[in-house]
Amino acid sequence: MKGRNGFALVGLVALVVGACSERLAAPAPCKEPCLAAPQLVQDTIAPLDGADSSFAGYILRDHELTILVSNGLPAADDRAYVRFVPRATFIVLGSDTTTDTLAYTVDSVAFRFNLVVRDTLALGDTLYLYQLAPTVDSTVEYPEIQAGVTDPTKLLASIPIPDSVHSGILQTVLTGPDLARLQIPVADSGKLSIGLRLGGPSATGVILSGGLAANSPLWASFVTADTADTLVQHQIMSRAGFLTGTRAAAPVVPDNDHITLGGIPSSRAIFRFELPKRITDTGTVVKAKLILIPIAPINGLPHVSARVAARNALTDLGRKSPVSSILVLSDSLNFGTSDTVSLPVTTLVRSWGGTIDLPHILVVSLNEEGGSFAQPIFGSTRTPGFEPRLIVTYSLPYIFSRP
Amino acid sequence: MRRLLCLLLLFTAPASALAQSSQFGILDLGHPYRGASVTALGTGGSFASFDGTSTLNPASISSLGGLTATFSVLGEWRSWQSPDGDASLRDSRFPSFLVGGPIRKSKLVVGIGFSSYADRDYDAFRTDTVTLGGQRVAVFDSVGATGGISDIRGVVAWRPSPEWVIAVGLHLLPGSNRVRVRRAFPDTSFQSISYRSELSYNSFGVDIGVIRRVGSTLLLAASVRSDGEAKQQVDSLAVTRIDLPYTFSAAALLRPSPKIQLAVQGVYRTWSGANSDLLRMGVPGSRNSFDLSTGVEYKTHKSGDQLPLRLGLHYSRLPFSLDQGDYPDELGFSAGTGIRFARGRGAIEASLEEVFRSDNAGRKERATIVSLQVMLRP
Repeated sequence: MKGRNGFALVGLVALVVGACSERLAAPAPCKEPCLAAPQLVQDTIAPLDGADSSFAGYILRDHELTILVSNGLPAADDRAYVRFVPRATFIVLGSDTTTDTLAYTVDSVAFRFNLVVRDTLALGDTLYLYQLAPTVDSTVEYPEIQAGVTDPTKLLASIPIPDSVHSGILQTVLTGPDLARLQIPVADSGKLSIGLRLGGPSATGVILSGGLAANSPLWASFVTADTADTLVQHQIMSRAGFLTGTRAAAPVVPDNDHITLGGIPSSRAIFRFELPKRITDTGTVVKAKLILIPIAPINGLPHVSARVAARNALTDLGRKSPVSSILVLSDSLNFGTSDTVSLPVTTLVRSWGGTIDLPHILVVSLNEEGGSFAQPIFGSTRTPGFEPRLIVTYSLPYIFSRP
Repeated sequence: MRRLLCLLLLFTAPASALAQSSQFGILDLGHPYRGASVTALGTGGSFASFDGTSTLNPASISSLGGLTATFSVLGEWRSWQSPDGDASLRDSRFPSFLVGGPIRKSKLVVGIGFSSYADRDYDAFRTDTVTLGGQRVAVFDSVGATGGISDIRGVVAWRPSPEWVIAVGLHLLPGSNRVRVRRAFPDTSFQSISYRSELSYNSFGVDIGVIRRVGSTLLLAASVRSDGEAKQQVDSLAVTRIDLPYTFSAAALLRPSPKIQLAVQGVYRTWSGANSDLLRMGVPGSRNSFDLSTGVEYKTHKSGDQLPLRLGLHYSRLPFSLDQGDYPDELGFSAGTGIRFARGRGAIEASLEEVFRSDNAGRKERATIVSLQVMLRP
């Protein structure tokens, strides 16, 4: 063989064979303990004594993004009020140098609400609008609203909710004789507050956007100004509902013996644990779940999801502990049952050791906080038989001393 | 220039390749290297005691007629059968490298090189269930390791007379296993866990060998080797020591005619010395191993070295098992040949082996191994 060919062959062999590297996995030829694997252990850990409590006031009354209106719903019988930005008593026209004011005549009035969600199986619901005292504010309570929304003389309008509509805009327009129902005395300076009540053949509820939401309630007045100038003669005066709130017939007041979530003002729970060093320092958590046991059936708006959320506390400042942005959710609560609620908190508990080393605290809330009829009440360490617990599955350190 | 290019190709090739070595070596130190070059593998390994590019007997380096560099590559196709599942695997390795040759105007031949001592490359998986809180939970485990123990050696052989060669070799045995374990769960509410670690080994060995020419047709060889005690570290933390074996070899090569060479060889390794160390670590342990081989080389060409035909077979009792007591055996059949080029300054040796391994627990492994060795005599 010629020398040139020989050297070429050498290179070819080195390259071709060197390129044939491949790693494939094979079924393990033997079972444990022949081929070791991390050993898993499961521990059940209770919160520290007295270190599980619920606190109210995380979303203050009338600071919710939604308002709730219901009709005898077992979860909560709610009414709502809306106070609009006052409508001016005259129209101002002006230029750089002059200002004119014009009287106007109201031709029609529209009220618009954004329906966030409702029971998808509810039929024949109607939203009723009643005029309340113009000075209604956050101090108003349920009896005052209830008195207003049951007074037929105060009825402004009713908005039948089509059965097929589960979310979106609800609107009514008052024209002609109906316009007479809306009376705003001059002394009220254009102030308007309304109360909301839901009517229907069965107990149900609706959730509407509140004054702090993008689609807040709207009061629009279509007016004709007292002028011959057709360019400014027809005007629309739109006013948003800037103050809104929900009032329950029987609000749930959190007590120290139980864990209460949700409600208005909203409640959250704080659970303090002390995980053993064998878990936080040397073990690796593969699964952790927080078990909460309701002390009574959980009620809510049927067919509308409500879930329990858990977050880590970034530092322990008691009820004001800042929480992490990472949250985990339970499955949707089963209304009408006392089913145990399980929260998959593996991701959160893994942060309790290692370099992150967050305090062993879980802050639990209702995910739809301030926007749900549900207000579950769970047992605490002070409720025998209903104690919350954390079930942690972790692996023991893997021993690599085998050859 | 061509020589330079060729050498460059060889030395820039990866020093090791990802691989799956024998399943029978995954629990202990790895699958032991037989110490036979590609030339010797063609004869079932039986020529290893006399072949200058093999590492079994240091005296064999005396057969290098001039400065020689060798580099070998190995491709292996294996099928694996076990009660837990079957698999087809492929593997590439670079088991040995050697530079050596006689020192002018002396009776000494020297060489340095490296070879594999034990391979422990594998990726294995299994599905199982474990009990957690009274419930059975499915798990998926995968375990693997990359690495092994290498043998870096320096050899000096002395030929006091045409009949005798006496040699001594020194061996550094460094090694590492990058071990990984992962447990995953089909149930997505569990998060997977994985661990990685690096086990490293370090030992020092010495061997002596002798080759005796008896008449014009018979060569006898023998060697003894001690590999000392491997110090094992886990992530740089000293953990334990593992006794490495003594190796005893004896071989005879007969040349009944200029065209035919016959050889028989026996190798015995005292791996049982590591048994207590391995058992203490929770692995099945080890036993003494032996390797018996025989082979023939038939020179088909007038020049002698061109396209010889080599045939051989070997039987080995392997030292490591997967279960206590179920030690595997190995039976292999091989053939080989070689070509010379560049006026004998270059050579390629090739061998083909068919190897069967099995143990008493029903595990079987069949491997087809193609080995190539490039030899340069600049």
